[in-house]
Amino acid sequence: MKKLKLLPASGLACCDPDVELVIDKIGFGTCLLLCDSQTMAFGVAHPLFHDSSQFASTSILNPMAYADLVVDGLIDRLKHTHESFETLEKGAFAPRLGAVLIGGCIPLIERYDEESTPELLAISLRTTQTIKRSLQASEIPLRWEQTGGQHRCSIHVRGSRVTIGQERGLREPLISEINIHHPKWQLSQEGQTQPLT
Amino acid sequence: MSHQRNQEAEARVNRQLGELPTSLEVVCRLMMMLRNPSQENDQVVDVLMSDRDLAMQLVTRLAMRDKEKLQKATEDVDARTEKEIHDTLFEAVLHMGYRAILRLVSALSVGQILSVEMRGYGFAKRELWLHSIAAALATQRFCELLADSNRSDPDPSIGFIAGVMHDIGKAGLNTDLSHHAGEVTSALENPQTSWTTVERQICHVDHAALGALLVKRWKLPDEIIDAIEHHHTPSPSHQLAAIVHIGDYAARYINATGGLQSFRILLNPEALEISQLRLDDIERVILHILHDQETLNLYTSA
Repeated sequence: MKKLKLLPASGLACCDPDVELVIDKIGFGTCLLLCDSQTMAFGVAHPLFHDSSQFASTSILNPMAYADLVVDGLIDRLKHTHESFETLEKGAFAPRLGAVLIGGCIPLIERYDEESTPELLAISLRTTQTIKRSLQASEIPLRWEQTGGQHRCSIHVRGSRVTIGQERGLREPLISEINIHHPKWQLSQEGQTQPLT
Repeated sequence: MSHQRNQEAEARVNRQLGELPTSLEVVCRLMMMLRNPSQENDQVVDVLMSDRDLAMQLVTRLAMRDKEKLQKATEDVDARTEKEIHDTLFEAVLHMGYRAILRLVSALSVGQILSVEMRGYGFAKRELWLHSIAAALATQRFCELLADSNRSDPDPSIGFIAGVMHDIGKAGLNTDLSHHAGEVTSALENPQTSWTTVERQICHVDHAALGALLVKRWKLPDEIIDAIEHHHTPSPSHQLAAIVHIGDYAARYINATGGLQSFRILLNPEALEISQLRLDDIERVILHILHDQETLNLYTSA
């Protein structure tokens, strides 16, 4: 089993049952996981910011760091992971996928004012919102979202099983297991199991 | 600060005095040398050599950049002669520059205090240390950006030191908080309660105020004391505090610190204007530090 780790502002895609992926520290960044439950191909990225436009013409532009580029960027990478994907158009490929979104902690804001929210404050919130808009535009269903709050998360992907851990202060972490077997996804959390549609 | 809080803070500082690392003296002497442009490298090395433990930590840390040298350094640490240590440090000062050595020494000098497990805050071993290094590097880079773009001229090395020590007060409050875990948990149940409020409720002093008092005892410059004291309450008269405030925020992107609700950081929108930083500066610095693993490793390798 190959164990891969992913740093913030980076991403990868693969279709290999011997790969185990771990991201163990997700805080203000938002983690996006795209999965194809027929082939078990998955792409995962850890974008930190919402808007790449100010860096569009610079050498530091990294699509995996920005929410507005990450969905298309991951789909492109996923298309190269399995031979059956290469002939599919984006429009036909995207609906096969399902998305999981976690992280995006939100800081407290002093003197928060809806009218004049300075840009500094809502980076993580807008990163999450931008990813959700991109998913919608690409017609990729968001199967599970666990964003916001002030607790760190982790994600572990192995075959058809996705495990999400969320710290809860002095209590034991909240563990959520998602089974992405085709055609239905299922979530198990605190002894309860439910379908993810 | 009320009279009661003052007394409480003083009492805590006094309790901490016995645990002060002596190597802070070296930091103070190096910082005084910073003001002398005609400083000789030999004099800098002499100051470093005045604390043998620190000198050896520095030699080992420097060797970590080179696996071959590291092996030799760890094998021969005790066997090294004074002259060998002197020569290694002289070479390091020559190649890295005096300011880089000052930053490394200041980080090493508080590394032990910040690396312990802090149950009161829910930090595992090294978590506060890793956060402090990330905040220091971010603050240093923000200062460099401001200077490069002629917006203002804060000293990047002073910024680094303020960043690495900004949470030093947590070391003083940790024990009390761990004895009041139930109160901490129930205070944090209110989603609008910040950590500094919880500290004041339970300990009658917050980590920023306590940290400033500790650093004052270490005789570090006023600029650093002010930056630590006001890093959660930046105001126009404390630009460095505003830069550290944003460095503290940026650090959580670089290293997602653990601990109890450590993303419950209270951000002050005015910090951007006071610091003269822009949103794209923050993103640029975060990405730069994430990509510069060599510098991160220089400070954080175990």
